[in-house]
Amino acid sequence: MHPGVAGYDRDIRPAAARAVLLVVLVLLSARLFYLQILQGAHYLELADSNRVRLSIIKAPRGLMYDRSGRIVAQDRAASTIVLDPSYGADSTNVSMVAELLGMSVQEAWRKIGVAQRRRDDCTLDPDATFATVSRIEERRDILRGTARRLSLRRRYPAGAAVGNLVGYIAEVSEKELNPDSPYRMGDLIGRSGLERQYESVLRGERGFEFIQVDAAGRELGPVPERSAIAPIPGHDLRLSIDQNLQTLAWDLIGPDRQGAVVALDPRRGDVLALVSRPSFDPNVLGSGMGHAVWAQLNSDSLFPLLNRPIQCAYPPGSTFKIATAAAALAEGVIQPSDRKTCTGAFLFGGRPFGCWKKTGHGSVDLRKAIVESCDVYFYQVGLAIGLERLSRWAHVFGFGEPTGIDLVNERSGLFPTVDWFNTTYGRGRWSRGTVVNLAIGQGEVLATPLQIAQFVGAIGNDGVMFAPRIAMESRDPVTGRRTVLADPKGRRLPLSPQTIALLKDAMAGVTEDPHGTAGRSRIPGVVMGGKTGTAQNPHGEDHAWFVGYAPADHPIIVACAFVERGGHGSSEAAPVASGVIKAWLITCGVLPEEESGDA
Amino acid sequence: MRDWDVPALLVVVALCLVGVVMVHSATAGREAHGEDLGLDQLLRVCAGAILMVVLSRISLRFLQFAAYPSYLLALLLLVVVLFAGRTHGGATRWLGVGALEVQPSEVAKVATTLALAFFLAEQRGNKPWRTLAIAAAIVSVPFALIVVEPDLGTALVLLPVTVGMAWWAGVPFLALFTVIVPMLSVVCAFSLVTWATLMVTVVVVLAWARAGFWRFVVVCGACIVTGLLTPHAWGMLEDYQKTRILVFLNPGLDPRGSGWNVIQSRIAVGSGRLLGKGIMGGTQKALAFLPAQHTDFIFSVVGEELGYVGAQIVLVLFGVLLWRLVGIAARCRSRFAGILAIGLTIGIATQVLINAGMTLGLLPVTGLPLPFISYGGTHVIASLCTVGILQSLRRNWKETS
Repeated sequence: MHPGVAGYDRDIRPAAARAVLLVVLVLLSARLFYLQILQGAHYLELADSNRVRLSIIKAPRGLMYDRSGRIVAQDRAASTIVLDPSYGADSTNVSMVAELLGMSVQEAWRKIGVAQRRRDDCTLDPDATFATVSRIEERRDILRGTARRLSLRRRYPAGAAVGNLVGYIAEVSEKELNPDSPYRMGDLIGRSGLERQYESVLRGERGFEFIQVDAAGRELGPVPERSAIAPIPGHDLRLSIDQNLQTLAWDLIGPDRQGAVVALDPRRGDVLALVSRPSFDPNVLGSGMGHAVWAQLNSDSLFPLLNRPIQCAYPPGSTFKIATAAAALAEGVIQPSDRKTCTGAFLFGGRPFGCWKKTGHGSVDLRKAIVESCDVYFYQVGLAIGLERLSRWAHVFGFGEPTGIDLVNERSGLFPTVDWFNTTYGRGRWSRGTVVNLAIGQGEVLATPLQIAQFVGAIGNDGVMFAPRIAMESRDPVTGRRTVLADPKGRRLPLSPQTIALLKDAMAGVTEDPHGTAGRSRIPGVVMGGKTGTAQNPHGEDHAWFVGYAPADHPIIVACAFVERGGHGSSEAAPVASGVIKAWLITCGVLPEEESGDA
Repeated sequence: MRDWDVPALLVVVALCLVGVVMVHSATAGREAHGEDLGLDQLLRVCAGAILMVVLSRISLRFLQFAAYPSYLLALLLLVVVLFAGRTHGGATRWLGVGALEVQPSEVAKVATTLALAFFLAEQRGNKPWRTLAIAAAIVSVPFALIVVEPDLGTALVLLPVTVGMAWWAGVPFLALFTVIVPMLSVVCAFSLVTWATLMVTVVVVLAWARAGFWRFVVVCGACIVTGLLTPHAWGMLEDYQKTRILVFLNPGLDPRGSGWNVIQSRIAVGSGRLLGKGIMGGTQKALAFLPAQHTDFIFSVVGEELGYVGAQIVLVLFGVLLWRLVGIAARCRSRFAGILAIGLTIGIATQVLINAGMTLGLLPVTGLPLPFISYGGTHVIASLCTVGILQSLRRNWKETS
């Protein structure tokens, strides 16, 4: 009995104190039991995700080599600044990061928003400069959730000369990031050209790394007990392109003209050069500032984003006369020796159709009509063969049909049929005289430079036409295994050897004969067959065409040059094509190296 | 050793060793800035053990003599720390000479308990209100000085200590209840459910204690008034003022919102499951997800690395210790010794409850070490000194009998 406490028979205080103690301990123990035994698995999972972050190792994109092993496209190391929104998405942190990266806070939040919706890391700067990286690294202790990753950027040594051919890559857009998409924010995807055509070959498969992070989202290194899943690098591509020839063709068009050059090996369909000018620098478009540059290019009045040799179809002008002649000979509506008289114009339906040579060519046979490009002769051939037959042959020769080149967005051009006229203008609302114009490659007919080169090359190749192709084989960089992407696919045009011999002889005359329209572009030491073309352009200056091949008897190259609003084919386009052909003949050893002097 | 409470002593040694191992694991096993503080902790435990043995030899008379002077000395230290203290983590709690740092609030806790025991022992229970008022005055000065450091956790420990000692000294339960309940009402007012529960409890307890009509009216009225006014007063504050008050009360306030500390601590404990991840094996801990892991949150490292079994053993050890300490208090013949013993015991018990409750997400986060286990020189030494004083009381009780 405690002296200080009245009213109690026994001192209950120690028992009360111990009771309270027990209650408290039982409470704490129950909580321990709940957290560790009942909820333990759940918390273990949380702890694991707490400390481990799945970090993506990007797969290196495949390289592109030209036909002799020169690098056309290659990855280079770059630094990417990423932000993990679950750690760093608060206003002070974001504005600090944005300031260091020199981007607006709104832009940073927009990107973070996209990443948050995807539960993804946010790529703030895909290609940070050394200075930016240094600024970020200096403040590593203050910044939260911000990390520098090594990444790979695309480099194209030839720059704009290969612009439209290789296309460009850009960050995958938010729209493309649907849940099934194999892409993640910040991934690069081929947007045009070969990069897009062969995206699935070049892309590879990303790998994963398990990274430990501390409470502030700073990466501490890989988790020891979980090994990384290595990325599978994309496959390399070997192209049929000769990058030197490509660059030469680019230079021959020059910076002040717009146009296209296609060079093919007519024996296999290999594309040796595919140039479009003006173009863009894929190095710039593939960089972080690509979007602004793209917007500017897209609104450029000269359409640098158009890959002219396959995407622009123009009236082929006189180059089409080869097709008309071939069709007429095959149909037997003319004989090579038939002569017609050119007085400088031809009357049909009460309307005069003029020859380019106002004074007339006089008496003309087929060979002379091709060599001197007599329009009046071919007006009459057109009338003789008629629209139905000419159009059927044009399609056989590949006009109005896609060539099947391995590039996206190829245009097939147009060779109108009777049906086409009926649906376009209405039955009876068009004149049979249209065939007069079509026979010389004017009017509704549209062809891409690639189609012209393919057809004329087939004539040079004794009637066997190959589908053009650029990527020859892919190579797995890990195993070294090569896969042929497409075998040469040739088909024989239904033309007799006599017809082909006749056309080849006439085309050789275009450069060799004294009156040949391309006499000035003769290549000393070898005979080049070819055909000039000057396509009337209702909107301005004529378009200049030239298609040629060499050596004339067994050509190893066919080149088609097209200069938009260039004027005469003989003066504007022929030197470009013959320059390309000559360079290639030298490369292949058909012609000796140029003597020094005027190189 | 004849007059020592050997089970209590063994438990204390065990707890201190657990502390050394866990501090070692919490600091050396950390990837970033890993400075092993285990040895450091062991040295402090040894220093504390020596002081514990010395204090266990002290006489009851000396304790009575030293009660008020030590209280005044503690107040002086608390004032000095406000002006010349060292600041860590936003709180000015330390007095330092060179590498040696002392936390006056730990000293004040023991000294205030001494002073209260001395005062309460002189009261004979016939004037409970006067006794309570003076006891409140004695506590309020160190309480206020500790709160402004700020060190709310340590200050809060003084409240149950005071109430418990007054109850042990014979202040009627109903009187204590009348004083405490309105204060609880303020705290509970932020949640309607909690407040309603409190009010029901109040009514039941008053009925059970056969409280008079006026006491009924006064207690319930005070609870309702404070309960209603608090949210209203809080709502009138500007946001920045609220933040300032909250941060003032708790400098470690969640830097990342939504209870980061609590969540991380809960994840650490929960992920330990039955047997834990092993000493040095904690991942939450290793990657610094745990705040203050070697000091205030050491118990979550225990839970993570030693699992349910280890954490439960630690709780049982505390239970055994406190059970024995209550026994010491119960057997004291001297009023002063009994009141002092229960005060020191409640001090330790409250710290265990607040710290473990915070770690397990049952109580709000207030910076407070876990006795014997958390890293920290003054606190370990003060805890061991407390045990020493309690041991001396046991010997004194035997002497007087």
